[in-house]
Amino acid sequence: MRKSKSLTQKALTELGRDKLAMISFAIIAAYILIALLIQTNLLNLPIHDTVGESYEKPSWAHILGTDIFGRDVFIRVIYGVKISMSIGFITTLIAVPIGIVLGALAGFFGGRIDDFIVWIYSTFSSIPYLLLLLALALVLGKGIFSVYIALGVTSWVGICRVVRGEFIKYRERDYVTAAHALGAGPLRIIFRHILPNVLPLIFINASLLFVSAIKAEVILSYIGVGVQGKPSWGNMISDAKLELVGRGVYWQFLGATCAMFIIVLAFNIFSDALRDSFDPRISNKTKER
Amino acid sequence: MALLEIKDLSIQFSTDEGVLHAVDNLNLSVDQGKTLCIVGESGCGKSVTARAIMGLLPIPPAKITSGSVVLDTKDLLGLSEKEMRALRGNDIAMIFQDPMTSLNPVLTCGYQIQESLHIHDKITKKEAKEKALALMKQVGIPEAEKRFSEYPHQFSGGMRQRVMIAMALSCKPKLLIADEPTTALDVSIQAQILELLGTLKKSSDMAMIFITHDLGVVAEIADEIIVLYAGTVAERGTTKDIFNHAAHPYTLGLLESVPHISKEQEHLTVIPGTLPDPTDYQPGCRFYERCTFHSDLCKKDPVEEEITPGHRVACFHYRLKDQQY
Repeated sequence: MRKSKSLTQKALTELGRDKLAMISFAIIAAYILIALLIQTNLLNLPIHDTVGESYEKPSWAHILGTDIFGRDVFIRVIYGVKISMSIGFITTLIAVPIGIVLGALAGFFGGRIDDFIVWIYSTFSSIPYLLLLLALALVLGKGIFSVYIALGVTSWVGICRVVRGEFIKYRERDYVTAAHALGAGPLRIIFRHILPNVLPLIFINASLLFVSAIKAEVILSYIGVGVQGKPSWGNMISDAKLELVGRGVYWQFLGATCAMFIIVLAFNIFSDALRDSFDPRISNKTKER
Repeated sequence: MALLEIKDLSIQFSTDEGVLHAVDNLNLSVDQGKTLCIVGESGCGKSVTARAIMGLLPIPPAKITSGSVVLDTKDLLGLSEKEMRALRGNDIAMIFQDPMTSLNPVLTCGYQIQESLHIHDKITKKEAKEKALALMKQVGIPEAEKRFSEYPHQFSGGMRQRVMIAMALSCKPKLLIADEPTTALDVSIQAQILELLGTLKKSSDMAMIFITHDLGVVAEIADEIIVLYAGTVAERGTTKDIFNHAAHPYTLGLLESVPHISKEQEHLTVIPGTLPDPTDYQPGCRFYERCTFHSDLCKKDPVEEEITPGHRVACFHYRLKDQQY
């Protein structure tokens, strides 16, 4: 018997054929796995232990050398994975639902509701998140929790815009009118009929949001308002700047930057491939790499 | 008593070019078990009327300025959106023109057929599936069990229209509105769909409003016909009245422009001119500009006059034409 396939399933099969995308996916999965292992204490990293002299060069014992207090840099880079992934994950978890709900309401109902929601997100997007974070740090105290909140409440705007635009497009579709004609209420139409059509786009945007949250955390930690007392990549790059030029201690900088570079690149390639596989206008030929 | 009675319905749209009069003082009624065909060219107000009955007009820009739409003693225009929602899909259902775009691509056809059961009846998943399968068989979709979980893109145009019909029939509506359901299909499929609609209507005793611009379809399916021109009724009557004793010059023009297979024709007969601008109707007969019989009489608004019982025409000249034809 022929198995029936939805458009989504077709797109995923196609994505599976894209080797580069699959490598990216494997990298993302590995990062997630590391983050989960650390989070659940299955992988207990001695991030505060002194293992050698200050600023030891990379060696087989410590492949990324040691930092100023003689701590293993490689272990700290790995621990940074957990911080970055948790920032990306929780920011996305806060931002995506807000973006979907507000965007859907604005796009579907239009009129006053639309005006109001557009006004809200214009206001939010005009607040620089650095300023908001500084304000939050004052109120909630500096730390990872403030970073979650600040990035979460500022980054839903992008998704909201996208979802709103899609809902404006889809609410005029014939099959949405047909759903109205069946007596479906607004909630049913929004969540059952329109949202599944918009989901691929939401996934793509969520994965881009994930990346930008990771980058934002690094920047925040670098300037000292981000994660405190834990080896996030931003903190490590910030520490590295002390001796980078003077004594040529490149390994701390290199480790953190590479770790970030790899995950950002993997996410970008993956979300591009995701976008391509869901877009029927791009022919199979251009998809072959 | 008529199942659906529309009285004095007028619908306007406010546009940038001014107020567009889509439908003016429309009266019609449909009895249980009967089929009413609304015929007319694009833009004459057919679909707008259908959407007004369903309560699906976008308000604004649309505005119903006068009239009533009474279904079974209930005035639909006075109902709240919530009450209207309970009626839609349950008492009145609609089939749309283009089956290629009227089914949701991300939902299985089976789900879409049972959806209105879930909306209107308290029903378990299993019962809904059984009912949906029965409906699929009823509308002639082969291998219903297998096709239940397939998506619209795996269905052909004709099969999709069958799915649309199954969706519309799922709650056993009293009134079915079919808005050009065969226009987007090729001719052999058209005949199948028409036949299906005919048998379904007979077996369920529902009333049907069939909107079309295809006179061939009308002859096949109609009990009564209303010919709309520029938002007003030009002529109404039984199928026989319209096809054998057409009185309005517009109806005559429509009938003449049907190509005949038996005659050798080099050119197709057309009605000269185009529809008048709906934002700027002049007083008098709206067909005036295109009519070969027009005279000064036509500068007054024509009223519907009864020629024979049930056969009414809105023209001053029908007697005159009788002499010529």
